[in-house]
Amino acid sequence: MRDPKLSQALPELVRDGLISADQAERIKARYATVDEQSSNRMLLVFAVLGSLLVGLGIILIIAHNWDDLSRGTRTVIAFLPVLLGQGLVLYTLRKKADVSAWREGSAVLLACGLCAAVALISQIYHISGNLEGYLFTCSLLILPLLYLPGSFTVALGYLGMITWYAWTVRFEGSGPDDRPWYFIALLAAAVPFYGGEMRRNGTGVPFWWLSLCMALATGIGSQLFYRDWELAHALGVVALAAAFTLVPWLHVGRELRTWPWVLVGGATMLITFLIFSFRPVWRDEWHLDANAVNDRYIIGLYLATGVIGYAWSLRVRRPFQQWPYPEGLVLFALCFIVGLSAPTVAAILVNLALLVLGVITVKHGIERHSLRRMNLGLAILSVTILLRFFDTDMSFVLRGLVFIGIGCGFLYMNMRMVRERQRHAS
Amino acid sequence: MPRKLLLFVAAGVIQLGVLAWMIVGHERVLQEGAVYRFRTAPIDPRDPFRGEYVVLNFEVERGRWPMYGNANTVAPSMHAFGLLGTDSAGFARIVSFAEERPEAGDFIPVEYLSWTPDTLFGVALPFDRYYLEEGDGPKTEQLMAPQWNGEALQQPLPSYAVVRIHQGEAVIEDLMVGDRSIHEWLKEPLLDAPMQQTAPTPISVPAGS
Repeated sequence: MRDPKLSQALPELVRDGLISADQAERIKARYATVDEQSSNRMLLVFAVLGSLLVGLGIILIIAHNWDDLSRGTRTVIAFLPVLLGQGLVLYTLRKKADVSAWREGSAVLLACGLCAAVALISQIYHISGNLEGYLFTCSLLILPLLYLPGSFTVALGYLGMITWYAWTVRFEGSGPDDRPWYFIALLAAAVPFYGGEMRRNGTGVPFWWLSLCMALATGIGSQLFYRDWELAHALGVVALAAAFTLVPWLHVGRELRTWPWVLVGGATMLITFLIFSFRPVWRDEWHLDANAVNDRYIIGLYLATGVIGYAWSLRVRRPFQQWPYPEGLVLFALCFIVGLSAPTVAAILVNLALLVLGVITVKHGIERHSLRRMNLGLAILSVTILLRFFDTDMSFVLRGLVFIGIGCGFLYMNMRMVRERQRHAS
Repeated sequence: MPRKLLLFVAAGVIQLGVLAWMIVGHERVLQEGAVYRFRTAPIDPRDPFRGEYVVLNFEVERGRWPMYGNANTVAPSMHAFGLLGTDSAGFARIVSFAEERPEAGDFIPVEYLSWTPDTLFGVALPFDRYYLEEGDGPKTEQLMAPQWNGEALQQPLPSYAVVRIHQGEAVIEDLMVGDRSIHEWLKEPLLDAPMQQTAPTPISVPAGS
């Protein structure tokens, strides 16, 4: 029982005739269930943490490289953590398939054991190669654990590992033209797991984290296929970001924690807009040769994803409904076209677009009585204005007045919102 | 449930199989491969997962060779096969290059880094690191790097890697300093790195033909 006072209070309440014996039993059962759920969650957390610590410990001990041991002994040792992990996973599948603490714990231990084994074999045979080869082999080996026994923690590690792999291929690869093509297959292999978790635990907190990792892996990975960086590439980034912010509209009427897609897409879009709100970014001549754009197929693919996604979303979403980020693609495309002939006008348009996005976000915040969203809108407006200090020749007095004005605006809007909430509550 | 069990058993066998395959392939090279000695010098980095190792900077990688095949096909990071031979002192050198995998002889896959239409210079061998016990990297570097003694730069004892080559696969068997295994050196307390008594001939002779 969670509260010891309850166990003392219930007999007294029955004795005083305030509740019946049956009601007392039901209250007891109710708190016993809550208590059991809580202890299950604790068990899960400790199982994951414990396995992770043991697994990482094995990797670190192996990294020491015991020179006194013979090659044969070290080869046998390489298999021990793997066999231990496999034994635990087998036991879990046979006896504890429904206990998430066992599923997660055994899978994490096996994943660490596999990574340690590959590391030890690399040591024994002095296998060359950059980190990318190691990460690729380990990713392939731990992939089955997403499905058998089905581990959420391993899935997060897997997504992190394949993103790291793609990054190393792109930036530390042997050739300037290396692209992480295998990343696409590795990411696709995790999609059925994501779908399964969506069906089973789509409203839970773990799914929120899984969505965040999936969105980050997809977002970062997708940007590692460019050969170059020109103005048109920003269009690809914004198009994909817009598509991300439309993900929750794929499941209208069904509550799922897919908000991280909007978070990643929205943040990417705002950062891109803020960068392109500076005039010099548009004025770089080499940026503006639209006919000589490398990667036109990749940019075209991202653009098509954004445009088709937006067009499709119009069936279930009104323009600017909920959040204005999908419309950011249209605004940025407009700025891009203008920027090809008039860079200064494009910079002004981006600033106007940021102001539109900010005002609409503030409006949504006020309508929904959401302090967080209203302050995000105010932050967009403020940062847009503050950044103009860097490319305008403005006196210190005027800058000071702008700072004071923005600060007062924040205070006024927040106080107004709090008062409104209090009025609604009373 | 039995289906899941069977699937996991299959996945487990594949996991073990991949690890075993990595071992068997390298073990075969060590057992059956021809021995080559590659002159080298080390630097001491560290890997986040695999521990401490020295990167081996092979002299053979700095040679110049006539361009092979059709010069028009040359592009950055081109891969080729280097056919191996030995010089008069018995150390490995790359005799020639081939675009296709050779049918006979000892060879290794290489990447060449720089070229002109008629000359190829700078290759990367498929092996470049030697793993050591934690803490042995700096000691190895001290053993194998030149040291200042007052104003005179003393050259270290000549060092080389013993590499087994078998059907294009290569595995480093040992790292030798002055004809002694690095592991023997590391067992002794290292007060002063052993140096050559007389000034050595500068190693500037191209490793290639």
